[in-house]
Order: sequence, then structure tokens, then C-alpha cells
Amino acid sequence: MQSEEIPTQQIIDKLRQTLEPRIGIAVPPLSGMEKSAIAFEEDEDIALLKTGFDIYNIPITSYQRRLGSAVIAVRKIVRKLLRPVLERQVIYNFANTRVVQTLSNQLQKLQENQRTLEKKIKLEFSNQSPEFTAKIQVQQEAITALQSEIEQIKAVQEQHTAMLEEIRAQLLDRSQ
Amino acid sequence: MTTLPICSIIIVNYNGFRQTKDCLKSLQKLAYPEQQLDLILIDNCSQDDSVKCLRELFPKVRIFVNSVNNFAKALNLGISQSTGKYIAFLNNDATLDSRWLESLVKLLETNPKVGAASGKLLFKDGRINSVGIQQLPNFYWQDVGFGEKDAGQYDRERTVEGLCWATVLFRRECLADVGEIDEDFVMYFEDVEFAKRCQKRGWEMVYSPAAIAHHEYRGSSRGSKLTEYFCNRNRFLYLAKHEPLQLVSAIHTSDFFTNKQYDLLFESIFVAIKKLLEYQKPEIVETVLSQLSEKLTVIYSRVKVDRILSRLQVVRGDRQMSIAIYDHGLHFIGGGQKYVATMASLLQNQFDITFIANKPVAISDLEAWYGLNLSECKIKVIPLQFYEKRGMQCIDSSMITDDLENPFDEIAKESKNYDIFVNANQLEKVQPLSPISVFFCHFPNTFRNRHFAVDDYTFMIANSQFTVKWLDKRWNLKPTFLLYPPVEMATAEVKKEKIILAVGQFEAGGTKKQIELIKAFHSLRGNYPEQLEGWRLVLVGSSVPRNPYLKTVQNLLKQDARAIELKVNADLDEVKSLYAKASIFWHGCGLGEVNPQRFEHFGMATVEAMQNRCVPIVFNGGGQPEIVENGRSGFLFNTVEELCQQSHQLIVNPDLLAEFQGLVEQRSQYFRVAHFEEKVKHFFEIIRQEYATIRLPNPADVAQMVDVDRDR
Repeated sequence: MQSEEIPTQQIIDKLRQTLEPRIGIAVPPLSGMEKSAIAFEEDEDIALLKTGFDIYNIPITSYQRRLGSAVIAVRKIVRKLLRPVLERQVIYNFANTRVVQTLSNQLQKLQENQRTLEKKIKLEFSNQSPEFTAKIQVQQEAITALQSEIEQIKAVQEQHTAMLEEIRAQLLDRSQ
Repeated sequence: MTTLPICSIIIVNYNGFRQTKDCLKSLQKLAYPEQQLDLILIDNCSQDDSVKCLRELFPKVRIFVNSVNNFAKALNLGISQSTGKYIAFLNNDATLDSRWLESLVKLLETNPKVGAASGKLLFKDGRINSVGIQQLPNFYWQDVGFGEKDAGQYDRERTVEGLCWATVLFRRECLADVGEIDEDFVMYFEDVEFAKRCQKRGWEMVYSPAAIAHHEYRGSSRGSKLTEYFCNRNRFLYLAKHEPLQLVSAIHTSDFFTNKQYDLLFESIFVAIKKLLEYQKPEIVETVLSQLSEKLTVIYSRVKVDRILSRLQVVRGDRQMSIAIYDHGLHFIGGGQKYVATMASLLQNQFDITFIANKPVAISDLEAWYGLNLSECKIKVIPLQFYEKRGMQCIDSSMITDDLENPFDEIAKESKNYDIFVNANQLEKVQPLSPISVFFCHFPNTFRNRHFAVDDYTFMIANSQFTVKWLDKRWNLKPTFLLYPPVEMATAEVKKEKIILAVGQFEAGGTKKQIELIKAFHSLRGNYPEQLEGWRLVLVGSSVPRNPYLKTVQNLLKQDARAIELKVNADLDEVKSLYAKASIFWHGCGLGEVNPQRFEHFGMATVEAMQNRCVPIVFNGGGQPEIVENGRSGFLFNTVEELCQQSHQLIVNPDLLAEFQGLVEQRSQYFRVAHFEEKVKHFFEIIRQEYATIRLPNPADVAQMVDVDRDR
């Protein structure tokens, strides 16, 4: 919301900047031309939308030698007749341009946020990695120990199985 | 020793506790009776706590605080407070040998023609700082002996062109005779200028080697850049005052010129011309100004040079500031036109106001249409050939497509002749060429295009939040502030009747929605015939002849005109009478629209109705919600059904209607002329004060500026 208060100091600063461009004044803000120059350093399609939304206000020309001026006149009349329709279209185009621009800005912000978050996560991860590595190492050692225990148990089991097989064979022999 | 006269010693301090402390300590060692010393310290608005600390350390020193940071003014303040027969100026970064004062007092006592005297001023390392000052061929001045080894080459007393004011003793009569130190110099070169005046009055200035003082090299100011700035600036002021015919030739030898600091050169010349006008005879002024104008036009544009002289007329009080108010629709009656006409009526005694129109219209027309006194205003009609050739009554800027030349360049050219150019009716293709310009925007009707010039205006004022929003969306611009239109339509209170009033132009495009309002009234009557008994809908508005929209409205009423009245082009008295009698006000502008141009950008008629205790039920769009607080000071509708429902609610409940009538009147006070007047006067007064005043440079700001330059 625009304030209804008169911004006295802002007005004084602006006047001093206009009347005495140097003394006691901060660096002047960008002019409209500079602003639009910066705005156009963006996606070409958005730039095209921004410059081309006004389909009413376009130069009317003709390259026909003889009927050139008549063609121009007719085109201008047609444009005038179509003015209400064209105006609606211009407003619609402009709204589209703004929406696309806003979405594009939002997307840009989101991308920036994502990059920042990625960096943050990486940083946090790298800060915590020695601890993690140590934990993983401990885990891995535990797993290795467990695996060797399992191997030992397996070997004992195999021995026991062999012994059982032997006992079973002996028992069979005895029964026969 | 008690026969020695009282001497005042004036020291100026600015954020310099350490230096000033040393300086005051050196005074305690003076071989001069303490009771004959009148020590004065002037503080130049220090931001540190040096004043407090010095007051504690040196309770016998009289301390005064200057109103601004200005060395010359500080000295004048010191002189005005001094009591001594002799008055010394002493830089706070200087220290005096014990016999400095006594030897100079004796010199002045024995030589009544000598107005001022000073001694040998040495740097801390023993080299010479100054034994007097002298002019160089390029109009700069220098300290005699500066930087030389002290080998006795200046050990002879002599009369000099001027004295360095780091340490100097003046005879009171001399100061009184020559007058005040010129405060426009702020600091540096004021000694040169004063020396010149002393010479002109026949006072001698003497250098005496016996009086020794020491000076810290630029200990009191922020380095050589600050000194350079003031010396260069004040050199022009000095020449304008004392050697005016040299002013033009001094431009090319100025450091500002050789260093391409054209903005600093411009500011300095501006103040120098003021001095020229103040001090020189008309024939000299004429000669110098013509040469200057020729020279400066080569460096700057003609427009900029012309602006100097024009502004100086205001600065000197030779004339009032001039305002041009351009309104391409001034020849029509309209809300926007009333807005600026009211503004002109409020400012006409402080400013010289000229309306610029494109079609014939007289001040008397404006006075009659808007009930204003504009007797001090003038009008200038500038026909635009583009529209004249086509016989057009309406100046439509959207016809000027990018491939066409800008017909509004005529207006731009005219704008050069005024101090302030006000573009009153948002014509976006007029380039402002006046020093100050104000763009009044009631709605940004167009888009940025080839001739778009709104970025070049100094200020922009919007009439509603709705306009502010669209200014941002369409032009990416933010107004300086918001100024709601003034509305003054209250009439004598009469008994309210069963009238629903709708006021709005029968505009060809049907933006005011009279047809929809008629249909709503029919629907209301159809649904609630008994409760609507006696109620009338009165549609008031202006119309052009052969208006197809009006014809449609009339045809609609032919089918069913019961309780509906049309008042086309009614006079003001009749409109006022209807406002006074009506109970409810309807306004449908914006209903069913998507184009923001077809919304009410503010809604003056709604406020007019409210001032007459007429409860508004208006479309919830454009500027209307800024006026009507839904359910508190009227109602906002989004559909015709809502309009009917809210109207029915009031119609069947007379107590509620009466309660709302009081509330809406209260709310409408916010939009009265008094509020508008206060803001308009305040805004233009700020402009007037800044424009009519030449601000003296504040050394602190200059030092900051120099720092910024260094960083670049």
C-alpha cells in the first residue's frame, strides 16, 4: 500500500539530486531506461513478450510503389475499427506477460533457494563426515567381526554335520 | 603587564578534541595576563563529545555551539561574542609560542593603520607554513614561504597582501569597519576575500617574524581534497565579488575544469553568478553574464545554462516560482481537471501559475465549471497541429504510434519556460524540460512506448491505491505519494426522500453501467413491489450530442419508465439538490469488466454523495473500496444480485438507513479540500524552499563525497 504521508526527506533528497547533483547525496537510483535495460538481460522469449505484447501500437508500412499510401491508409482504418478488440488483446497479452514474468522470477528464486539448500546440505554433511566415517568404520568392523564369527560357526556346523553324518552311517551299519 | 588590552582568542572546533586540547593548553603558557584573555571556543556541530570534554577541562573558556558546520559563520559568531580590543583567530590545530600574542599586540598598538597582523607560522618539523599570502597569475592564492626551510629569509617585518588565518590577530575596529566574514565561503579563501576588503578600506596587514606559531599540516580538515574543493569553489566566489571581469577566463584554469569535474564547476559558477548579481553594477553584470553564458554553453547545454539565471531570479526574490499546468483536456469539464484547478487555486498566491491547454478555454470557464477563484492564474493555448489537422476535439495520445513524430514536443518546448512543469492529466508522451516536473497520474492508460517520457519526471503523484497498483504493473513506477482528489459537495441538509441516485457520465462505451442499474431497479421493484412503493431511481449525467449509449438507455426506459428518471446535462444546482434529497447512491462502474481502464480510478461522485448523507452501494472494484468501507460506510457489491439485496436491506430498515447516513457523512470528511490543501501546500512549499535556497556545502558532506570519489 502506498503511504498517504508526504515523504518530506525523500522529496528533499530528490530535489537536491536534481538541482545539485553531487553534494550530500547518495548515488542516484537507476533511471527508467537503465531499469528496462537491466530487465532485458533475461530470457529472449520473455523479452519478446515484453516488447511485443502491444499489437495495436505497431508501425504500418507498405512497400508497394503506387498503392503504398492507400494501403497504409486502409490498414490504419482497419486498425482503428478493430481498436476495441485489439485493446482487449493488448491487455490480455500484457497480463500474460506479467504472469510469465512473475512465474519466471519465482522459478528463478526457487532455483536459487534450491542451490543454496544444496550447498547447505553438502556443507553440513561435510562438517559431520568424520564422525559419520568413524561410525561407519566401527559398523564395518563389527560387521566383519560378525561375518568371521558366522564363518567360524558355519565351519563348526559343517564339522558337526559331518560328525552327525558319520554317526548316522555308523548307526546304520550297526543296525544292519 | 596589566596595561595590556583585553584580547579575545576565537578557536573553532569540529570533532577535534585532541587538537583543540593542545591548542588551549598552549594558550595557558602565553606571556599575557590571564585576566586580559577572553578565550572563546565555537563548536561547529561536532558529532563527538569534544564540547563536553573541553568544557570540563577548560572551564574558563567560553563555549558556543554554531547552528551549522560553517567555519566563516563560526568566526562571525565568535566575533559577536568577543569583548577584546584585539581579536585573534586561531586554528584548533595550531599552537602559539608564549610571546606570540604580546608581540603582535604591541605591533598593533603602535601602528593604528594596521588592521591585522600575524607572525611566522611553522610546521612541526620547523619548515615554513606561511609568512603571509599572495595571489598567483591564475587567480589562485598561495602561502608565502610554504614548505621552505626557515633560514632567516623571512626575518624582516613587512606589509603583505593577506594573512593566513590559522593564526592572526585583528584590530576590532578593522573587523567592524570591513564587515562580517562572508559565510558563503564556508571555509578556505574567506581570508583572501576579507584581505581584499581590508585593502579596499585602507587597512594594512603586517607580517611580524617575532611572533612564532606552529601548525599541524591540515590537522583540522580531512585532507587535501576537501581543501581543494573549497579553494576551487571559493576562487570563483572571490572573483565574482572582487575581479568580475576575470571570472570567465578563470574557468579554463580551474582545477574543476582540468579535472573534468564539470558538476562541481557548475555548482560553483552558479553561486558565483549569485555573488556577481549581488555585488556588481548592472553594466558589469551584463558584460560578464553574456561572456559566461557563451562559455558555459560550450560545456553544458543551453537549457542548463538558462536554468541557472532563471533559478537565480527566484533565489534573489526577483520573482515568484512559475508553474505550468498542462492538461490536454482542460477544455472539457472533468474530475481530473477539477483536481488540478483546485490545486492551482490553492497555490496561486505563492506561485505564478499558467495553465497550458490545447484547445480554447478561458480562466472564467474554469472558475464557472468548478466554482473556484483562479483570478491570479493565466492560460496559454498551444494548438497541436496533429489534432488540429484532423479536426479533433479530444487529444488522444494513443493515436501517436511509434512510427509517428511526437506532436507533444511543442509542449515539451514550452515547459522549458517554467520552474515547475505539471503534467496534470497523465499524458505520457510529454518530455519535461523544466528544472522540476510533476506527473499527476489518474491511471496509466497506455503502455510504455517509443515516446514514453514519464521516467524523466522529478515527481509522480497518484490519485488512488488502485492507480498506484497499476502504475507498478504497467509502467514499473512508484509514485512519490498518494493524493486523493478533493471533494466539496456538501449542501444544506434537507429531508431525505425515497430516491436512489446514480451520477455518472452517459459515456459512449457505457462504462458507468446505467443500463445495468435500470435493470437492477426493475428487478428490485419486481421482487419487492410493496416495499419499493414510492422509491425512484434518478440517473444523472452529462452526455455529448447524438450519444448512441444514451439513446439505448432512453429506448430501454420507453419499455418501462416507471419510477425512473433521466437527468441529462443537469446543472450543478439541480445535481446538488438531488444529492441532498437522495437516500441511496448507486454506482456500477467496473461491473462485469476486466479492463482496469473501465473501472472507477477513484470515484469522486461517490464521495459527493456521501458528503450529502447518501448511503453508497457501489461496485467493489477500482478506487471505490478505498472510499467505501463495506458494511461500515456503505456497501460494496460484486453482482447485480448483491446490489439488489443490499439496497433492499436498507430500504426495508429505515433505522439502519439513518444510521448509515451518519456514518457515510463522517467517512466522507476524509476527502474534503482541507486535507488536500494541506498536502498540496506542504509539497510545493518543500519544492519552493529547496529551489529558492542555495544550500551552502557542508564540509562533512563534502568530505564524504571526496571519500566516495577516492573509493571509485
